[in-house]
Amino acid sequence: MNAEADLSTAVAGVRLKHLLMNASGVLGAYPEHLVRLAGYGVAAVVTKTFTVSPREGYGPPIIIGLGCGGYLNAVGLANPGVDELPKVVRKGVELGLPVIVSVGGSAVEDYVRVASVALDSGANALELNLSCPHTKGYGLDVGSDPTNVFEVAGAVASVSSVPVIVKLGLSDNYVKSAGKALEAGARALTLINTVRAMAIDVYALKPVLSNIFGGLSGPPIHPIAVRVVYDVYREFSPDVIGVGGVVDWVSAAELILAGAKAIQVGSALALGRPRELISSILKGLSNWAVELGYSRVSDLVGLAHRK
Amino acid sequence: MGSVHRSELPAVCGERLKPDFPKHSVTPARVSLNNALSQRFRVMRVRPQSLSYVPKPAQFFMVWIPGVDEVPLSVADYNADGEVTFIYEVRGFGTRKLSELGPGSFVGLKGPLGTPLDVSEGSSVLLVVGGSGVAPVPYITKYLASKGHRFEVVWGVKRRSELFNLGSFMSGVEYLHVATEDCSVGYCGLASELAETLLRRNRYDLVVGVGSKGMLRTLCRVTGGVTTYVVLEAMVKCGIGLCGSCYLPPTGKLLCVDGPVFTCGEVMEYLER
Repeated sequence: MNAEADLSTAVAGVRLKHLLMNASGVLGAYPEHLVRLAGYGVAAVVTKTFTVSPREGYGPPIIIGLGCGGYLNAVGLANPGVDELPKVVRKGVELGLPVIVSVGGSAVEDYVRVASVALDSGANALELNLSCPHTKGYGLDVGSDPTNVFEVAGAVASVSSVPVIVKLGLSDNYVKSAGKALEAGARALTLINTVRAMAIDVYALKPVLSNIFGGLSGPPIHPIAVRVVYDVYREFSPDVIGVGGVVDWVSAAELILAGAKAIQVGSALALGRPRELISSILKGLSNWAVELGYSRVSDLVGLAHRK
Repeated sequence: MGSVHRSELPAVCGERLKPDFPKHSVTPARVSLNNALSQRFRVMRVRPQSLSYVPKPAQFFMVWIPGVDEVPLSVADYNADGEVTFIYEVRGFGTRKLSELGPGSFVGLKGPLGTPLDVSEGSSVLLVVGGSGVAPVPYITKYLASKGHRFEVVWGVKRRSELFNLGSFMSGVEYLHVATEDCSVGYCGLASELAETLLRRNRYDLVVGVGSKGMLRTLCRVTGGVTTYVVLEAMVKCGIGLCGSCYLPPTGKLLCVDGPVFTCGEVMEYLER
């Protein structure tokens, strides 16, 4: 009666005991953060985006909840810099979890530098952040240009002994950028990042975030994430890590059917009881697969494309 | 085999977690009072348009000063009219701009945030307060009084000019002991030293400390076997457990969601660093 489906998966060649990991940006900048994420029950930890030099990020407000659901954030890639990265990676390894290092930069050399420190520290995979929507020169302006994507992904892939994953966001060119990332040697794609947006307080008469613009996350972007994953999977059938507005097993299942082999959870971890959330998504996915007659959740990847 | 329905799961789109997005959104609040209390402390009262939850003792709000900054402020009081009171000091650019806002101005409130003080044990409480730790004290005393506790307060400041009439903000206090580091009023020395003296002399069922890391470290060392809660301060940026700026090394705890209230045992490693 209570049969359980196999929740294990492999993405970019990295084997995971189940499909869920945190989205980059949720903690992940210090060893203690990884201990906490491990406590949430994720199958792999994704670090905060590391840059060569430390970045303080923007001043508060850096994140606000929205009346329509979801969050708007502009943290500004705050991180302690690449010199602190080895300690973080080693902690993840010590915890027995695959460590995916989110790599940021404003030039190709930056990405290569952070990537090589991550490799030396024992990272299991690299996730190139080519889609931060609110830090000029550090993300979306790279990821929305397929030529830049090819250049950065190629440079890192050529020096990397572990799989390179490229994280892309919403842009006019996402299918083309995805293709260029794969062509350059990316083993998987993380889709999507937050979506550039803003909020204005109608009494204070001012934009709320200190950076004015931010990245929208949570339920409002979920249908966009489903569409982007579906589009890219239809074109290339790559390994995809789906992310964007995953708040329960149904939203995770949609991304799986669109083509995601693994799922990242971000905003929903801030809504209280993150450990319970992760286990309930997993339980829901397992029950869902069993109910449909599948013994492995991974057998459901991309099934929405079946004619 | 049982089918799983969406409603059985803790989903944002379901009922259980739904209110938390509004809790993290910014509620406009009109300033009704913003005055100096002493050379160090100020009091501000605001009327939010709507709050998702009634704030509880030791919880805080991220207070948005439009176009300037957002600062974490403990709730000093919340009254039946829905007004929130803050006691704060001017420490930097953000709080200086906050101090310049007159009645009628708008600020934004995100919260209430953090895990509240939840006391079920003890009938005799010693509340030890140092410096800016005074901010949440009136609301804590209101809570302790409502639970029928007997309690004394130790309030330590550096110098006399920082003192204000704390008694007028508190409820049900049996005795207020003042300690000044410049020895101008009351006990000559630190709040933690006076607390140690009182702990040797009297029997308390519970100790609550609010103040600097140093004061709380000393307090945790001297309370012996008495259950002790400490209310910590830290650099809070997001307030909701995502950015990690308020983590308490090496514990892995985040002040903004796990705290600001902890037992000494939970954070001793942090306090000792």
